[in-house]
Amino acid sequence: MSVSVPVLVPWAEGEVGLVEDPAPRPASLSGAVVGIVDNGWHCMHVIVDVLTEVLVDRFGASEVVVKHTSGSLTMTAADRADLQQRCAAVIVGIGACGSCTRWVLKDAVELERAGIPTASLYTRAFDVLAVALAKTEGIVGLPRVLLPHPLNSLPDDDIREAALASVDGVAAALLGSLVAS
Amino acid sequence: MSGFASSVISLPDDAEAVGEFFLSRGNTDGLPIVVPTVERVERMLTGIDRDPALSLGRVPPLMGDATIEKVAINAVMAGCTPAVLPVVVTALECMLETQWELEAVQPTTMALGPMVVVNGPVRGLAAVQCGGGSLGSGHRANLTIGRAIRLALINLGGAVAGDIDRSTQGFPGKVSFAWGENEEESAWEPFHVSRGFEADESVVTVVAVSSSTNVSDSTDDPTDLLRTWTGGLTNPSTANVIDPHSTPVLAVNPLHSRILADAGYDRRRFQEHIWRHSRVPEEALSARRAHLRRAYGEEYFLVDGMVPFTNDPGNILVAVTGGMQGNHSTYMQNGLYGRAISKRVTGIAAGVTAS
Repeated sequence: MSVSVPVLVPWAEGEVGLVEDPAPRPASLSGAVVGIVDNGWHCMHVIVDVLTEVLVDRFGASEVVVKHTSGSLTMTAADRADLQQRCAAVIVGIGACGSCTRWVLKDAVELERAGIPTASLYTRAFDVLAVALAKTEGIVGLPRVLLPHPLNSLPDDDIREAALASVDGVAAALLGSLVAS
Repeated sequence: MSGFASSVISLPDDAEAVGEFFLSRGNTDGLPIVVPTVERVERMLTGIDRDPALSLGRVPPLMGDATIEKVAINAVMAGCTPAVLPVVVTALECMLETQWELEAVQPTTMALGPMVVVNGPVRGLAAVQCGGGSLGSGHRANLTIGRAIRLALINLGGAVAGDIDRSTQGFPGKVSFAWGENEEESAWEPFHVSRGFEADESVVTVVAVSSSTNVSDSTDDPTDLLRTWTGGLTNPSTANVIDPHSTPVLAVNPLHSRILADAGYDRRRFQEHIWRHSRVPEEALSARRAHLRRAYGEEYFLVDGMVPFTNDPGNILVAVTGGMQGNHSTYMQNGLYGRAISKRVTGIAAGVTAS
């Protein structure tokens, strides 16, 4: 006859926190001011250039406002307030390392809670982390857009190509179908 | 009913099988564990005079509730004695302070892992090694303190290596890194006293570190010794250089402390000397690293035209550990996250010692 022992589970148990929906999405970006939060990776600088052009030429944005963070911190309260006041939508990026994935997500969550729709960008190596972090923040279906990894070490032309390939995902995140690319 | 809030599962009375079960679920650090039976957890909790239901906080990023009970379960798995539990609990309390930024330490690609420094009477009660070999193997308290913390970070915070824990390479200190200060053979006042505590208080300090580097010199000339120390720290590749508020740790062996003290270097003077002489030229930093440091403010970038490895001599944490048998000290890098926090150890159960 097999013998068993009672063992206490070491892992966390029980649900955590409230569950919130992301902010409502606009029908279009035509005439809107769109923000981009650039956390300093070189690849993000290239992505900003590509998306700025696309947002104006293809989506009719009236202006693109770019804010800069360090990657090891969230954006300043002043920058967040400015984006919240001026922008109809904000792109936040890029989670290309563990801790900066956390900060990108935090910035996106704070904007969503203020009613600003976001598209947060991550390289694929940090998708699992981004999903886990979004869950702990309690925002169901926080839109995220995935780019190739590694990205920062690629030639600029390859980064531009990846940025262009992400445009449909960015549009989906900001405008409607909250499905990550 | 077990009387515990944690769920109880019935597993085969086979330590190896239970170990494989937890390993397969990602609940271990890769090493065999001590099975956390109800009986063992009850015994572990005799080591702390605090409510097992008390929550220390939620462990990011999965935000599991770190109750003392859950910590005790993980401490059993790590092989802790009950006397060690108050140290583990206090260390986690340090790490769960918002300013320790555990939410960034857990997923980072850096090598950062918590390092625990123990001071005061609890060192003896828990048999924390402070003398020879304190940073190495062979000392149950030292190894299990760090291990219990790591298991709690995995099981309550979700930081499974290769998954949420995105550390590029990791470093051996992420397995376990805890030691006691050799207050008795140090030439200086105890480390925790320098941080504002009373000498007879038991205190834990936790810093996130990404390396341990040997600083070795058998000289008895203080000038030569200082040159060796500063030479070892003048390095543009360290985590310290990109963070002006970093709290690197200099784990000085007792002999080195005596050579320096005899030459008139108390802790403060040693810190200031290190700070003044361990600097790198701006051009030694990569553009990316210079960008990271500048993000803290241009006013923190240079001091007297050079990049110091932290911006305040008081940030350089100096503690004494190891034995009198040699002249080897150690420097541990800290940067970006997990800057030092110290707390008094509470709830040490009367009459409980490591045996």
